[in-house]
Amino acid sequence: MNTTTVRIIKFEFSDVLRSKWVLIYGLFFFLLTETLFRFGGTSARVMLSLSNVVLIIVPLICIVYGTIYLYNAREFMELMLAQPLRRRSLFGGLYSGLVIPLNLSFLVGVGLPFLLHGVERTAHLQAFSMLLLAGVFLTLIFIALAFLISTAYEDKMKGLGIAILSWLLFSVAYDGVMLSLIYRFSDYPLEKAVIALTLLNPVDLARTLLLMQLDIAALMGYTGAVFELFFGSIMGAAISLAALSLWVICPMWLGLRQFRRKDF
Amino acid sequence: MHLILYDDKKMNPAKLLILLILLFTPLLSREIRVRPDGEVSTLNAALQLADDGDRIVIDGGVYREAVVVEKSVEIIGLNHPLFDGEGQRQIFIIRAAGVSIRGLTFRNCGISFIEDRSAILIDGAQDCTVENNRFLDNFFAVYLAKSAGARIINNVIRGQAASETSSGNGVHAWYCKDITITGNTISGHRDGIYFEFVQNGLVEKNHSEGNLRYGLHFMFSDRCRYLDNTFRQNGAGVAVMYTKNVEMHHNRFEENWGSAAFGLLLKDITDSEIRSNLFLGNSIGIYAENSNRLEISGNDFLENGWAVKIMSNSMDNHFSGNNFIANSFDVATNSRHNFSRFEKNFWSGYRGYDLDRDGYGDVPFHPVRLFSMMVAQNPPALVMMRSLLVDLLDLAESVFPLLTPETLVDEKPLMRRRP
Amino acid sequence: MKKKFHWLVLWLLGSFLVGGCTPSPAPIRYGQDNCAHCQMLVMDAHFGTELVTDKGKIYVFDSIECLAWHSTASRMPPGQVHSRWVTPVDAPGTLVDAAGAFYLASDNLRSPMGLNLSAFRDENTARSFQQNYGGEVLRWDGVTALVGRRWGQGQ
Repeated sequence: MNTTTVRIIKFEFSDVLRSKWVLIYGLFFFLLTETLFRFGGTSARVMLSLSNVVLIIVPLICIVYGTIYLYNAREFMELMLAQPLRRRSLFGGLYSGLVIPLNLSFLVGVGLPFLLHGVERTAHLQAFSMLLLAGVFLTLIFIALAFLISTAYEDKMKGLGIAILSWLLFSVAYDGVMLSLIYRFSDYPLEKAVIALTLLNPVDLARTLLLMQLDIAALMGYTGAVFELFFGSIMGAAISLAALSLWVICPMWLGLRQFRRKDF
Repeated sequence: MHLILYDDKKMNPAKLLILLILLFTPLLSREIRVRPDGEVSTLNAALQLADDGDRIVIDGGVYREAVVVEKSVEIIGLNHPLFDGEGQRQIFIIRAAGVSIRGLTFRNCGISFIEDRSAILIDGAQDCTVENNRFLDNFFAVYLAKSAGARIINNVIRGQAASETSSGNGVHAWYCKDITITGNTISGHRDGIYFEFVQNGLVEKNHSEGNLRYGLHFMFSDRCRYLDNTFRQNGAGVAVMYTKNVEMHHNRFEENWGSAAFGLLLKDITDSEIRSNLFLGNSIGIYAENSNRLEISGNDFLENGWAVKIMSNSMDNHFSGNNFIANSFDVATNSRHNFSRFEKNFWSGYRGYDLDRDGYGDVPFHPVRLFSMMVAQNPPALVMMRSLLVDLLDLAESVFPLLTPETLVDEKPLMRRRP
Repeated sequence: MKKKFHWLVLWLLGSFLVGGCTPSPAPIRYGQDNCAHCQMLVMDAHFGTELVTDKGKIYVFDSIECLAWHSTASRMPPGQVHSRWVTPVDAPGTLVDAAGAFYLASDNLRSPMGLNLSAFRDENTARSFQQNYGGEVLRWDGVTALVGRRWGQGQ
C-alpha cells in the first residue's frame, strides 16, 4: 500500500465518518443490541435475534449505501484521476475508506452492549466472534459488490435497482431455488449437495456458520450431523473462509478491471 | 416385651410358650459373620453354613469370589465390603426367593459379549431386595430375569467411561412383574433403566444421568408407572415403545440434546398418561409415532428445539393444560392430516387477545409453522432455518393457511401460564 | 460473470447428484445414527443393518427386524430398493448383502428389537451357532415372513 492510498483512505475515512449515515448505522446496532439485552435477557437469545438482523440488514445497507456513495463520489474520483495517480490505488483507497468506518461502527455498535452485559458461557464467546466475523465479511462482500455495480452501470437509478435486486437474489431468491431443489431431489442423498449450495451464497454460508455456532445442528438430525462433520472440521472451516474470501476478491477484481478501463 | 412377661404374676402355660418361642427365635434365624481374617472368610463359606432365613453380616474388606445364592438369606455389609469381579466374572447370582442384599459394593464384573454379565443377576427368584449398595464400573449392574416382586432401592450405580459403546445397562429387567425400582442414582451405563417384557412395575424417584444411550428405555412393558424421576443429559434421552397403559407423572426430562436425542420418544405407546412432567432443553421434547389415546396434560415444555413432534399416524391424543414456552418450534407434524386434539394450553408464541376476560384467547392458535412441517417431511430443509425466505413463507402461511393441518389448532389458548 | 457462476452451480450440483447415483452402503456410525424405523439410537455393532435406494439414499436400522419390517411395509416400495445390508453377528461392524446371508431365529441369541434374529455370512456358521443356541435357520424371505407375522397383527 503506497502513501497515496493511505492518504485517500484517510480522506475518505473522515469524509465517511462525517456523513451521519455511518454513525446512524452504528447507533442502530447499539440500540438494537441494547434493547435485546434489556428485553430478552440471555446472551444466547440476543445473539439469535441479532444474527437474523445481521444477515438481512448488513448486506442490504452495505450494497445500497455503497452504491449511492460511489455514484455521489463520482466528482471526487474524476478530480483524483486528474492527478498523477494509479487507478488501483484510488480504487483500493475508496474501498478501504468505506469498509473500515462501516465495519468499525458495526463492531462498536454490537460489541459495546456485549462488553457491558457480558456473555453467560465461554462457549457463547465463540458464537459471538462468529457473529462479528459474519458481519465483517458481509460488509466486505457487499461493499465489493456495490463497487462492481457502480462501475458497471453509468446510470445511478439503474445501478441502485441492480443493487437491490442482487440483495434480493442473495437473501431470498437463491434460498427459494435451494428449497425447491431440496424438495425436487428429496429421494437423493442431498447433504453434500446442500453443503455445496450453501458455500456458493455468502449470505447462506454466513447463516449456516452462525446456526452451527448457536447449536441448531442438534435439531437437524442426520443432516445436522453431516453439517457438523463438515463445518466442525479444520478443512470445512478453511473452505468456508476461502469461499467468503473469494466472495470479497472476485467482485473486487472484476470491479477493478472495469474501473481501470473505464472512461471517466 | 420380655420384662412385661416376667413381671406378670400369673405365668400360665400359653404365656410360657410365647416366652420360649421369643427366647429361641434368634437361634432359629442365626447370624453368620464374615471377615477377611475371621473364621468364616468368604461369603461362599458362610452360605454353606447358612439355612433359609439366616442373616449373613459381612465386614469391610475385599472379597474376590463368584457367589450363587440358593438359600433365602439376608446379606448385609458393614463398612462397605467390596466384591471385586476383577474384570472377569459374574459376581452374584440369586436363585432363591426372598434374598436381600444391603450395604455391599460391587466392582468391575468385566465385559462379556456372549453373556449379559452383571454384578447381581436375580434369576427366576421371587421377592428379592437389593438396597443401599454401590455398583462401580460393571457391565450390567443389576439384572433381573424372570423374577417377580423384586425391589431395587437406593443404590448408587456408576458405569464405565463414557466413550465405551459396548457397555450394559444399569438396571435391566427382562420378563419380570410387580417390581419396584426406587431412589437409585444411575450413570455411565448404556441404558440407565431398561425394561423388556415387564408388567406392573414401579419406577420412582430415580436419577438417571449421563448414560450413553437412554436414561430410561422400555419395550413391551404394560401397566408400569414412572413417577418423580429425573432423566438428564443422556445420550439419546428416554425411549419407550410397544407398550400399553403407561403412567408417567412428575418426571423431569432435561438437556437431552443432540442430533439423535429425544426428551421422550414414544413409539407405539397407547392408552397412557403423561402428566405434570418437565421437558427442559431437549432437542425434541416429545416425539410420538404411531401412538394413540395418550393423555398429555399439565406438562411444561421449556426451551426445547421442538416441544412436540407428532407423526400423523398417531391418533386420538389429547394435549391440554400444557405450557409451551420459548421452544424453537412448538409443534411439528409431517402431514396435513391430524388426529389429535390441542386445547387450553399456554403458548408463549401466542399473540391473541382476550376481550371477554374468560382467561382464554379469543383467536385460535396454530402451533404448527409451515417451516416446521417442511422440515418434518424433508429434514435437509432445516438448513434454511432463519432464512428471510422461510420467515416470509411462515408469515404467508399464517395469514392464509393452505398447507399446515387445519385441525391442529388450539381453539382456547390460555392467556396466562398455568402455574 | 453471473453466467459462469450458474454453470458452476449446475456443474457442482450435477457432479454431486451423479456421485449420489452410484448406490453403495456406507459404514454405520454406531452411537450417532438413528434407526429409520424405530427411531432408536443404533448402538449394538452386532446388529446394525442398512437399506440403499437406487438413488443412493441410505437408511440405517438398529436390527434385522427393523430392516425387514421397513422394507416390506408400504412406505418403501420394492422398486426403489437397490440393496439391503446386514451385520454378521460374529463380525461386528461389517456389512454383507442381506440376500446372500443366512439367519438364525433363536430366543437364546437376543437381538435389539425382541425378535431375536442374527445374521451370518455363510450357512456353516449359521448351523454351528444353531447347534449351540438352538432355533431355526432362515434366508431373507423367511426373515421378512417371520417379521411380518410377528409384528403384523400387534402393530
